[in-house]
Amino acid sequence: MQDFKVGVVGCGTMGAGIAIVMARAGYQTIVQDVSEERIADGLKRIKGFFEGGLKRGKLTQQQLEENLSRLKFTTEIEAFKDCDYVVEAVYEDVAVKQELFRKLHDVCKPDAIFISNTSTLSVTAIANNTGREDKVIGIHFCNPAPLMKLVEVSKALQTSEETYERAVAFSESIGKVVVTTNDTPGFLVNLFLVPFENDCVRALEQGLGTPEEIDAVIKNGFGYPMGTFELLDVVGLDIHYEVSISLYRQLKDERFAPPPLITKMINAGYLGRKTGRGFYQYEKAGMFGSN
Amino acid sequence: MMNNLAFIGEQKFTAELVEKIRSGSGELPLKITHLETIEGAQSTLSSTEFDLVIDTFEGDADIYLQRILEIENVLSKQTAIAAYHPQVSTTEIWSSMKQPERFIGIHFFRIDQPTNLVEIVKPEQGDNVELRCAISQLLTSAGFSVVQIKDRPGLLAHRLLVPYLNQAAQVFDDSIASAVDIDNSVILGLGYPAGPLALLDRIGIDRHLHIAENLHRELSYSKYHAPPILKKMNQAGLIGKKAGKGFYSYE
Repeated sequence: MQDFKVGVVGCGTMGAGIAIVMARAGYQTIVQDVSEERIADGLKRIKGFFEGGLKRGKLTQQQLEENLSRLKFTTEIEAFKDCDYVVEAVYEDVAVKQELFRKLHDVCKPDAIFISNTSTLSVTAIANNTGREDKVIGIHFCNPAPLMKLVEVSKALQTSEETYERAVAFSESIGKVVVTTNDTPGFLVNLFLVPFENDCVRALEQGLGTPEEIDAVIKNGFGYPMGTFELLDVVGLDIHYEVSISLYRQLKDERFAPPPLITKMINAGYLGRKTGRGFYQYEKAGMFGSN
Repeated sequence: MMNNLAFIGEQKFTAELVEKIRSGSGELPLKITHLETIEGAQSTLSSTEFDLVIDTFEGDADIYLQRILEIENVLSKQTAIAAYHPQVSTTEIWSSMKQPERFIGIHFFRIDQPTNLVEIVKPEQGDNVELRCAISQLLTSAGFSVVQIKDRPGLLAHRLLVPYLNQAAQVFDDSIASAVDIDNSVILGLGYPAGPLALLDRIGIDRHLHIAENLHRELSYSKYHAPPILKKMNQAGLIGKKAGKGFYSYE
């Protein structure tokens, strides 16, 4: 394994998960966020993950300590100066990501590769005017990053072949399986999932079945691990709406338009598990899997 | 509870379904007879007091309707009849039969082999509640998940599956990603047991076209329209697993 230094920008849910992946793979990893509070939250999330793993016998105390020792936390962008790969998991906005990459371009080594974890934005747009367009590439992690083996690697129009090959090798070195697209909206997972979920919501709107019945069709007929309405409640209807509308605007394919019921439920505050009610009701509000 | 069933059908799928019910019904006092054809079984059908006869024919629509009417005449009046066809709705069958309340639309959903899902159709004319509940109870005891749907094209399962499979074939034809990457994305990213292109190969592209064309004819939304690549593959005989080649090659 090569002695790469890795940077992760943002330690929210995805950033913390990506940091875990890097540390577990053996990389010295710098994690940056804008405030001490956000860093403290991120570190708590990361420690919680490793401690949970320790309890379940997935890693030893020594491995836990080694993993944590590979992570350094900071509020300073300058800390990324020696990184070979920097992954951003910041706010989902092109201008914000472009600005970040512009700043990083001034800080980082010339051959450092900048990776965007964007799920719906154009990597080509993010790369533009950053100063090292050929070294920008999309690597979209699934949630939760430490548990899902898939990454979607997306070559922007500007991405060089060398950057792509380095990105694939890097992804495989952190234990991921790569699928590749050319920066098309939704890449692959959301491209298939979002319109399918919308079709299920339409079936509900049309009175073809209840959420329980439609989820039963999905689990028993198709063998999927979760029903659509169970999954939408976990993701959050507001998040689904944002992803769906972003893809609809780019693709103009009517299957991607969020059905009216989604908006109605958001307006009623039925966002899913985090508000205690979505398509199903939950005993108490909270994130799936949270203690 | 119902305990004397007959299945009519010579397809591999019919035998698999019979086997699935036999093994799923465990301790239940269930007797299942598998008859290959109606012609060969006329005397059995007219002399036996079956509770339910299920015809699994899914071929030509006119032949399907004829078979139901023939079975209706041959069977004892106490025997219920179940069948399903993508092109001939339960509502239409009810309007053609002398004793429609004996008929129940039952779709044993399958990719290639039977799944745990059964869709029971409620026709427009009404609802034979007792019969429907008796069959539902029996199938649930045999390990199936039973859902009731109003009589609409594609019911639920095909209605939801067809646009996704059509989309995957088009994504492949557009060279957005390789076949392996398309399938891996949902297997590893969503935990699906198989990818859409492998599923198309297992369903059979010819069978998928049959289902999709019917849905598109009835519902008109473009998402039900099978993309050109599938028609081309069908014309080329590349219909999937049973032909040895589709999106993938099979030994």
